[in-house]
Amino acid sequence: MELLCIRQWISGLLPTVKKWLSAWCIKPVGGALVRQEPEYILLALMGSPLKKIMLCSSEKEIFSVEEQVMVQHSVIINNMIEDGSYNHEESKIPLDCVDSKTLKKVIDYCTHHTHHHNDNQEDLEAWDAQFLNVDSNGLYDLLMAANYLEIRNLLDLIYGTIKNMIKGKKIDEIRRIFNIKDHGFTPEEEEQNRKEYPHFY
Amino acid sequence: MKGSLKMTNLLSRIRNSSKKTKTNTNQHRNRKRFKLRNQNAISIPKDLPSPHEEEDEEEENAEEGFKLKSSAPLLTHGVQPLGNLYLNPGSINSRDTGLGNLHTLSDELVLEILGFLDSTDLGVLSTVSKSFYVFTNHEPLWRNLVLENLNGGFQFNGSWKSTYVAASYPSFDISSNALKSFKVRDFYSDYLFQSWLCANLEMKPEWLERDNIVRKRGISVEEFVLNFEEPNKPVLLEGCIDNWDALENWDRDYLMQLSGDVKFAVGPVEMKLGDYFRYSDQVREERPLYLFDPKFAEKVPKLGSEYEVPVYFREDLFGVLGSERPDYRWIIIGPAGSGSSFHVDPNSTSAWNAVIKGSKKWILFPPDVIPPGVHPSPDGAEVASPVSIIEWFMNFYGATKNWKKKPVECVCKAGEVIFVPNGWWHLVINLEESIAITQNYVSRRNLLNVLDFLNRPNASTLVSGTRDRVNLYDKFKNAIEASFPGEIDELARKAEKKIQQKKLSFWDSVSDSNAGAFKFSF
Repeated sequence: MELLCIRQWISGLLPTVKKWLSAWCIKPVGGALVRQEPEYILLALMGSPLKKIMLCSSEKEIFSVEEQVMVQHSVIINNMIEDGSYNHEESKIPLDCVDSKTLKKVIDYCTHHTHHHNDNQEDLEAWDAQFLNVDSNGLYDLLMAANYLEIRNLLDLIYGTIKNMIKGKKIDEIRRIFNIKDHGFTPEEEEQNRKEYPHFY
Repeated sequence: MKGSLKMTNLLSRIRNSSKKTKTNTNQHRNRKRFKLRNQNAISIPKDLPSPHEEEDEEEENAEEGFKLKSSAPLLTHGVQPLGNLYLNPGSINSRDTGLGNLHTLSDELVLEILGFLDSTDLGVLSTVSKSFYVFTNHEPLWRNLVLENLNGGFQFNGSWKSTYVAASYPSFDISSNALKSFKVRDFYSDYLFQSWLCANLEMKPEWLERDNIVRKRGISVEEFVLNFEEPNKPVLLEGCIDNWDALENWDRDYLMQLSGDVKFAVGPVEMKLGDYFRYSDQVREERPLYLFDPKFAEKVPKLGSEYEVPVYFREDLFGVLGSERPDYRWIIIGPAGSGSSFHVDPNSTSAWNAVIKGSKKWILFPPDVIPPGVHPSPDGAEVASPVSIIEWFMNFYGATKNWKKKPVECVCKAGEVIFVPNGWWHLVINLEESIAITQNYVSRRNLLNVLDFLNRPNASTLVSGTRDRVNLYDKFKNAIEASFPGEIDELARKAEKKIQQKKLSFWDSVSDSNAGAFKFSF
């Protein structure tokens, strides 16, 4: 109970403290410049753990994530926390349409982008490309999860990837990429297509 | 999906307007866009022929069921609602096989992906599989391409796809090509079916039956203010625009002649009247583009001179802002089926709407009653509601039959003016091609409301019709003080008095032993 009060008090203080801490940077030795968020500094100084929330996948596996991370990326979770329906002591957010594997990936994405949002663009893009190096079904599961949780930048990223899978490709290539075995056209219809759209073939 | 349902294929049921069918409507909400899509479980008749032979069937008597517009293309691709799949044991959904790995995605997500592609990519995709063929021919995709790339200067050519192809590839012979549609079997998709259905449905007669608005003819301004404006009640006023030149003169040809090459605001683009009429004559879609121009009198001054504000609405305090006032008057032209879904007018103003040609169906709900199927956000900045007006009628109108607080409804015909009090939810649909004029205004009666509204902390998102949202409150208040000094304070005092009186009467009733508020029984 006392710990909860302290945590709440700290969160209440944060906006003011953030202002005068905003000039502080912490540069680890020998690595890229990483600027620590003021609230992390403060909380680290105070010795308090970061606020966490519990997400529950469709396979009933529970993932503990920093609240800040999810709130920054997922509109749905942000709304849930903001309107006070989430009780930090007890609640778990059930995500029945997202399986554990996908949820883990989503959390990875959000966590990385929160902690590394000051990285330069190229590094982030490289990380994103590596992140999306999944099998095709994994990609669509990610898309559905991002859509469900309303994570705009992840959605845009995946849409962009799928768009590039289609753009400029020939018909046979597209069929191969998306594993379309039965295209459903009769031979006559295919012939008709070939005649009318020779430039596509 | 009960055992007693007759097996009727929805297509033939609609085509033949035949036997009664019960539709199981499970509503599920698309979280992102708050669209409501019905899952219709429709049963298939064993005795009726298969969908592909429908063209030869005769029309049976219409009982229930929906009536299609007489020019509806017979299900361009043979898409069926998802419910049919469940009633066809052993059937495979060619939607899924044709999408390959993408089949796990919902229809909305697939269309979202297609929304990022240009016309060439869509063309290629349409030959990849029958399933993609159906998806890539979804008209809204091509509508977006036209509106984004051709910007209002397009010649509508029967369909959006056709319009785009004709404009982008003038040498391409459209007539022999893309419009030769392939028949599609075993393709089940609620989203695409519903989209087609809403685009081609006619208004059911029972949706037009209720007409319970108060109608008045020739009342005085005082009577209007006392009985309708002050208590904030809607009314239909007859005969008050009989002297308008517009009533006599305005028709298509006259307007086209007057406006020449002037472009009017149509949704996101601007179009010449001739181009707009060419579109509105041919279009069959869920939400037709609506011509709604707030600067028509500035663009074609003669139009502004052929009408005048009816006598009841002459006090318009936003006038003190002169040319800096927010948009306040619009000319509205649209085909049958066009209109506005439920909304509350901006800036807390009241409005009047005069029909010059055609007729409109109105449904109004008082400010404290949120229409079924409409979900405003707590601050009122966003309203989530079904995409199209027809869809609202299909899914929600029936619910209002059992309500105690029924909505106010009417059909407003040429020569009639409807008064929409401030804060009232309203929905309008054109029953035929219509031309109308509407104005929003602020009178002394709702001046305080408007000031309150403009003063809200989130005024920058809520205030509409002007570029200077944040400062509108200050500007307006100062302008009123300048033209009507002391007015605001006077009104505030009167309002305060009223509240006090109401409070008094509450306490009176509580302390009054005859009020029956407390009853003891032993």
